[in-house]
Amino acid sequence: MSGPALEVRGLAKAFVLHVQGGVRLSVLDGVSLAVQAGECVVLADPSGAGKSTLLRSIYGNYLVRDGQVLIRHRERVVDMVGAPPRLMLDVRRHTLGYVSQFLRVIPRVPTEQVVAGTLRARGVEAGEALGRARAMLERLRIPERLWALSPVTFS
Amino acid sequence: MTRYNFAYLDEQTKRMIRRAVLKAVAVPGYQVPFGSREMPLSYGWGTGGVQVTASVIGPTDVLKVIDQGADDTTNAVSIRKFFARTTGVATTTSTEAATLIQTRHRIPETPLREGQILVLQVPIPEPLRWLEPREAETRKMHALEEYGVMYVRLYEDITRHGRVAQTYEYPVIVDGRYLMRPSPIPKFDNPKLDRSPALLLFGAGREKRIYAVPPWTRVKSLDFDDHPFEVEHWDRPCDLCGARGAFLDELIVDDKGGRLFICSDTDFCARRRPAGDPPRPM
Amino acid sequence: MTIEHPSATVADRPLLSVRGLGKRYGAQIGCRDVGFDLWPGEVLGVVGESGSGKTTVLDCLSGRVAADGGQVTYTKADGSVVDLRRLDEAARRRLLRTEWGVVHQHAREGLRMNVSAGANVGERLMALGARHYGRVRGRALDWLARVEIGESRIDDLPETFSGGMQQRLQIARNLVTEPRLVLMDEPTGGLDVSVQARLLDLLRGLVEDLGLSAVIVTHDLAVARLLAHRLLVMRGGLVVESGLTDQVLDDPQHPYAQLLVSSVLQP
Repeated sequence: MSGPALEVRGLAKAFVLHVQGGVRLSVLDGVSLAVQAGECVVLADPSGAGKSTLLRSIYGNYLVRDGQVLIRHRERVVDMVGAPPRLMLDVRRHTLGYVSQFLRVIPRVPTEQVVAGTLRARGVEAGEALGRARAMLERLRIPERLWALSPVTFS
Repeated sequence: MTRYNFAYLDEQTKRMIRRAVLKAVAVPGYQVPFGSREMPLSYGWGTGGVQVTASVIGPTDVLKVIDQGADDTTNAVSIRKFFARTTGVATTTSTEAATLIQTRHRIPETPLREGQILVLQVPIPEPLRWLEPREAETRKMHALEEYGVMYVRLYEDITRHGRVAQTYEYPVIVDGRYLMRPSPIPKFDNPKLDRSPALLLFGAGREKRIYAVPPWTRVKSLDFDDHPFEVEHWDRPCDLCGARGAFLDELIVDDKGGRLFICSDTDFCARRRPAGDPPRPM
Repeated sequence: MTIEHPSATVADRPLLSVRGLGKRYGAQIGCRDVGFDLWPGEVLGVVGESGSGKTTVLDCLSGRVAADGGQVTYTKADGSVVDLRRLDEAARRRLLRTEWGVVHQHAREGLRMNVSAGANVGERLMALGARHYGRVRGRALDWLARVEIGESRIDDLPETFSGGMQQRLQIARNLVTEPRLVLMDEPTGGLDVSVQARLLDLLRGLVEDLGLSAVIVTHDLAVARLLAHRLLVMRGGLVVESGLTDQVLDDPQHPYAQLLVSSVLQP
């Protein structure tokens, strides 16, 4: 199947801050981009230009009403804009991952469980999920002695 | 001197109670509410049983009254005299000769036969009352057959005592449907309820309920598969009549710890002893 | 290239479907025009302040109060669909004992305080016909371990338990019949913070392991973020915003939702 893995068309995002008198902040206006399978695209801009907003909008963390966010998911193309929550959750579970600058983490859960958790959410059996998590941690060169600790202690 | 109506109660009341009895017989084990009357004995002394007896007794009946198995205790004597006076009906101490038996807390040892009626006195009719004080809720539980809570009670007993500790008033399931409290008879007597040839009627005067077990109805005592229902055993026979397998009362006879074990069913015991033999301490 | 929103990717019908649910208490609106779908394995959080109607919604679902209007359909384990508001009481009570669980805010409301922990957990099994003491006790031990209550406490009365333990016991009592849907009302309400944290971890784990669906009512947004996939924000009996949890909390649209989120103190 051809076509980009991810395509953004004419994305606009504004925030209306009701708590501050209804002031309207427009952050993105008519953003378009396409990412092919296997491609790595870097967004480089001065801070405050909306890079993080764009990522969050693609992920659905920010609500988008204008534009399209087309993702190749399970052999079809899905538009995240206006998609039902259930579909968005499925996309996040199987197709779209998110790595943030500030990892929001539960302070009590060991690293290996945090990693394995995403696999378990997909229905992978606990023992296998843990094995694959450890393999991935090793590949990313995170020392084994840290696997049982919560990531809150990490740099 | 005042003349009483036959069996003390007026005919309208007897009709009302008979209707309740019929309903109870039609739905074995189900508690039927009835308009319990004031009787010339206090609540807690058998008013329910007396009202049931008064409603079913007829001129040709032969009445026996026992209390804890004995014909000669104060209460048994009082109630028997009451009916003798208000009905003129023949009375007896013989289980075999009786057609109608009113009892408190025991079922006679002598097997009952078809055509006999046993009326049992009941203090608290509701088996679920210990766990659920609300009447509205217990009625729903019976209607919906929600009896899990009764098994919770048995579970707790086994947990705390290693066995079900309930030795009297042991709960039963009647005809595979209703959970019933069989009045405070010892669990020893529970097997006698199962498929009895006699009609068993239960009357609770203070709580205003009547229930029944028709003849030949299945009555099963509650238990667990790995803790089956068991009756009491004595490792000695009756000291008076030598019976084995009867329910025995323990009597302290002196200050030195001397004890006698004798049948609680006085009629049963007396029949087994040679005529004229007085009871002798060991 | 077609662009679609396939309405379902896995199961083909929601577990629970609510439309136009409403309840008034005299002139007071409990809740009005509430609607949502809940899919298997999904946790829905219902958040709001006191008087928002969130508890009313839960009470209408569990049948604790009778709703005035609306439709609530539930897909049973055997695939049949029932209209909960038309269900007779016997069937409703049976459902609550088998496929559903209800966890109350105060453990006392959901436990028998005068029987042992083991009996509390085993009761539903016995109500459904379990007649082997040893096996009932075995299952109870199993579940106590899963909610991290020590084996040695199986014969103790819930009165001797701490608040957090009582809550965990209540959860075990509900989950022993492996329900498909659990309704929870402020499950961590009134507990110390560290106890809350442990309970939340447990709930997250159980929801994941058992594939539970749940509707969780809470005023605590942190609890909602941790446990729920989706959120409903309620105010004055109405749903003012709904969506994915992280979206509602990070980019709330409705003025009230923005107010709620911005009011949360960050330590």
